[in-house]
Amino acid sequence: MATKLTSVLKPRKKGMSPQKKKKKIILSDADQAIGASEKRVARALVYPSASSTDVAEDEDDVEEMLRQFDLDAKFGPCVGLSRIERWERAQRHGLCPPQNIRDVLERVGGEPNCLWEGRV
Amino acid sequence: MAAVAMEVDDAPPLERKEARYTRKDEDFERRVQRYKGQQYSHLYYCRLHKLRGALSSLVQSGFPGVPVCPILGLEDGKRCVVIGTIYKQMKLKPSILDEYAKERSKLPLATASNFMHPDDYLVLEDESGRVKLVGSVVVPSNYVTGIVIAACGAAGKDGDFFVQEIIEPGLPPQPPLPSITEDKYVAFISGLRIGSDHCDPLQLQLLVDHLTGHLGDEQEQMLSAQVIRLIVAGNSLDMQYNLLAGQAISAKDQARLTEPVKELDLVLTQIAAAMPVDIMPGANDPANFTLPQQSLHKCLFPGASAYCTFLPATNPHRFELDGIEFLGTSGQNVDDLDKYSEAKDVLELMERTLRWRHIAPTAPDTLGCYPYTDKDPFVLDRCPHVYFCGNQRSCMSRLLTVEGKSVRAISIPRFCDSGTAVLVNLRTLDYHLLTLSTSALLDA
Repeated sequence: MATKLTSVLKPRKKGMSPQKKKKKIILSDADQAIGASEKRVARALVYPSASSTDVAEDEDDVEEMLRQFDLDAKFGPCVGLSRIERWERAQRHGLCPPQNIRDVLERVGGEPNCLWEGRV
Repeated sequence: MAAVAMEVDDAPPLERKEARYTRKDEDFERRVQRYKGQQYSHLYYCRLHKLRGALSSLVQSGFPGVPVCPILGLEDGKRCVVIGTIYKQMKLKPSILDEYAKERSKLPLATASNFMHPDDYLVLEDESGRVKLVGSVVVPSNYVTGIVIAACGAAGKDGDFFVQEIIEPGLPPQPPLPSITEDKYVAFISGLRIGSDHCDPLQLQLLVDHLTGHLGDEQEQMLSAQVIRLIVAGNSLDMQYNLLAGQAISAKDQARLTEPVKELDLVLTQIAAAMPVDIMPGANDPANFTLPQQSLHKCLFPGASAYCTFLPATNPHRFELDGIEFLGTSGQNVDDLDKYSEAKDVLELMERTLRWRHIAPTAPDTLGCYPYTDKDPFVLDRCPHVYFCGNQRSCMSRLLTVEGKSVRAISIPRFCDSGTAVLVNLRTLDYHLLTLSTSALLDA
């Protein structure tokens, strides 16, 4: 489990995909008996911010953008409400949050909550 | 059958005066909010954001050319303005961690009712960081944790910010006072404490009879007819919470628990039958603990709820009568301010809350408050014309005139102790006391 956290915190770059293959080792022997689709789901559970298919690099950019939005102090604290709620709150306060964040959250389907949601 | 001759009063019946009432409690009602485990940081963020907007314009006009810096961007010796939330570091403030301290420090002579100490200091905090405020202008006893201010000065070498002037948000904009041609009165009572030993049921019944016009001759009745509304500002009940010890309650105890509520319902039914009445919850009433307290449930008042004139209201309560704005609380905000700061009297504390544009600045630090994520409902957008506060020791009132805005600030005394109700004239914003006493009866 510790491996999962460190890989989440490191900035994702293009050359990091080999790490994905390393993760298969983390799954226990029992899991190897499961079919391929189940393994993918299990991988998704280990790495929560990835989508259920094998993740391409553009997902990382999306997540990176959303994380920058989370950490922007102008829009207030990010823990305790979902990203869309925080975006809407910023909109209501007249802070003009970037529209592409909203689009990403609604259409592309980025992670609804910030990184620390449920953990802090 | 012969017609029976009856004596009919030739005089026309006295009609109670009326006024247009608009309830404005939407900000304080918690209809849609669901607690998801969020913390109070959002409440402070919303408060800072809203009041920073008000302060920025004041700073620009008061200190042209002086830059507004974030706290982490402060440079030594450079004159600038910082805007942030005050945190008052208090030595004597009770902390839950004291129970775990290995060494219990000796408690100084300060009473449990006020936690001030000469060593208290103020810290200003914004999103980037915090800085200690120093200077002769900074008098910690006049401020509390949670207010948003702007401080003009310069950072010193030791990291403290030397303050030359403190700017408060000031009174919010006030709608114009409408002119009313006839005398109409709003009656305020608080601290009925039905169910306690202090409560005198005869005194309360006298009040009810007077307000409903069952007392006195025609002149008295004319006075009562001018009272258009009654506001009960909290602490109407004194429930015996010690009976709710977690064990099964016997039938006798159950009756003892519900007796005060039934008695209050009887009183309210009599009043509601005669005039509109708003009832606010107080610190001891069966409502939620955190502010804003939600209205008392109508199942507690089966008799009074049948009348459309009966209105359970939230605490704080905001409403408008004939264009005059009223805002008030059951006293918890002012009582908490009294514990953590110093003032000449209750009215000075109320005036400070108006100047800080926030009716309960110590929430959520020392005053229980709901962790809102999207707003801070206690920030004032509009200045009321009448600002009241219930459950105080005595009735005091002052017409505060600041920057062209005038506010009638009143503290409502506890009825169980003083037997006094307060009447406010809508035409002139004057106030009158209505004291009922049964002592003459007891002496005879």
